[in-house]
Amino acid sequence: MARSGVQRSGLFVYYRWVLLVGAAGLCLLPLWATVIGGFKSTGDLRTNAFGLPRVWLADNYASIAGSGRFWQMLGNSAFIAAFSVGLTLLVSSMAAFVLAQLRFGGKRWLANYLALGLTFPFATAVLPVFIRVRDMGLLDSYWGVILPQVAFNLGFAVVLLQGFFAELPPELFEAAFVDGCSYPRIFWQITLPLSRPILATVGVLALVGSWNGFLLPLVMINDENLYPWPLGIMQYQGQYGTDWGKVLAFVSLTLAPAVFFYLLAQKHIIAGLTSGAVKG
Amino acid sequence: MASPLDPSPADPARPPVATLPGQEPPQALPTLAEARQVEALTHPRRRPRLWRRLQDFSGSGRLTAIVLFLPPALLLFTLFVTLPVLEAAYYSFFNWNGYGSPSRAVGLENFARVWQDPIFYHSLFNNLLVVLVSALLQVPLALWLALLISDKSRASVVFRAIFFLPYILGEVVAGLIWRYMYDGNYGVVAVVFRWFGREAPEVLATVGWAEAALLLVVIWKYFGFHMALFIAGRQGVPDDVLESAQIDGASRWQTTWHIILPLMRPVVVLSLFFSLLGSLQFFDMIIPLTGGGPSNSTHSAVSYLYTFGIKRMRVGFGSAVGVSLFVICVLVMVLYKRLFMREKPAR
Repeated sequence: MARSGVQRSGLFVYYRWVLLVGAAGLCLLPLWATVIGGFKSTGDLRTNAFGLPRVWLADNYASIAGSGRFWQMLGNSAFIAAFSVGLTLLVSSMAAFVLAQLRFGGKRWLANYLALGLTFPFATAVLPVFIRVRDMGLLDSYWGVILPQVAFNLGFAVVLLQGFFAELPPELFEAAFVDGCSYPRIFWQITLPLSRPILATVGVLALVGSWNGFLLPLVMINDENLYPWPLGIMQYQGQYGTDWGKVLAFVSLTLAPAVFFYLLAQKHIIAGLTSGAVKG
Repeated sequence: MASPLDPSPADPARPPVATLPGQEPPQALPTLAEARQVEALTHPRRRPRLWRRLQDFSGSGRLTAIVLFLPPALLLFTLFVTLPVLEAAYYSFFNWNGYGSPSRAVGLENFARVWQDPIFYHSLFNNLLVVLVSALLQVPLALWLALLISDKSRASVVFRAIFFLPYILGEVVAGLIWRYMYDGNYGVVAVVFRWFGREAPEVLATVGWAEAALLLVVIWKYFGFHMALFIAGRQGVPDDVLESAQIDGASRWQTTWHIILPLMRPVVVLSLFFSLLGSLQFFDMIIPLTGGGPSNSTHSAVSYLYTFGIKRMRVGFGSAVGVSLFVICVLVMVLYKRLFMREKPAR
């Protein structure tokens, strides 16, 4: 803390550390138990929840990592997330650009209309969206998940992007305009490159939402081969119910990409998610 | 272009100036941009900003931009967000299984069924519990920890990363992990009980305990998010205020209670707002953890909608739940904004 010169008594430092380490331990304990549990036999799990396995069993992890189904599941999630994030960024930035930079009649009304998306709970729309997706023939397809995800992202995405675009210095556009740049070119060559921070924020929010999404794929997808990992994991758990070793291994493996990605970029992720929240 | 009339090298931005031979070239004429700047400065009211004026007259891509850039967003949004909400309102007046078109109009019967169902009330109560737990347990905890690790030290950064980690894991995963933790036979709870020589109760199968167990998972998962918000807020407290307080002899406790916390009020209000919004949509964690049981005691509004509306394809009924949820959402948000978020700075 930036309280320069405040004398910290040894007791305070001690208490702070004990508290923080304790809290961190409680935080990580379930994750540790899960990862290590994947290596244990069921009997071992019964008596030894926290410690290292008596006998290290690689079967669970190996059989899952070797199964095509696991990778198919992750691949589905990756495909959906990639297109969800990409489309969200593209569509929302285009709309936000027009709303922030151009003047035309009805603009404010349109901006408020899109901002309404922030207030609609997804649960209200899920049944009608299901029917619409079914009638469009997109049930049991990636797009049946991607398109609604993008649509529901538009609320916060457009609001965040519009706010950022409106703060960009107008002199840039004046100069570009005098040079004969058209609006689309300005968008691609000036606005977007300058907007990397906010695009990253929106991207991270959309990515986390899509990767972890459960209700939407649950309703839209019945074909096992298209299951993203939340559905796959529930199916696996349903199948291997009490064989916790297997289930824990499965959970750990599914967590791995997210944790890996998080550790690489956690500063940006935390900053992005919280600043996105504060602004939105 | 050089010409006998303009002996000096031409600045392409500047208009050429005619100079009679033998005479000093007069002061250079202003460039177009300079002229417009002067004009804008001397006649600020009459002429809107250059940028706006150019927009009005120039046709370069303006129409293209509007026609090309707006429709995708509007189309997707209307098709998948606004229309469905309106359709939900429409469907809620029918008894319909989703095939063909809705035919059996039943007026307000669906709403009556929803609002007379004790399970629905209990689900709403669970939503409320989540909010209360967030406000009364999670926020103070997150605040406390945030105040301890808001500095820039390496250790603090590490702790922050650790505490934030549960938030990025999907709710489904959190639900499954804690299902294991609470398992009465193989779970961590079971092992701990065995240390004391007893057999563990099946927590998730006991009414009352299951709800408490669920709330604990909520705290575990989300306190990191609130903590991160509070750290951002804490870092926004200016140092000079704190230093002058210290110079005036304020103790740590006084500084915290009377200066830091009040300055962080906007962030706390915001974090509670997100709690509210999030808790109304609470669903993903329930299915893996309890499936809504035991005896339908751990449903939230959304899991209720899913179990009794979607899974049974009772579109009318489910839509009525959805519409009710929507109304509750709007009411809560409006109320909250009015009560706590009135002091928004004017833009």
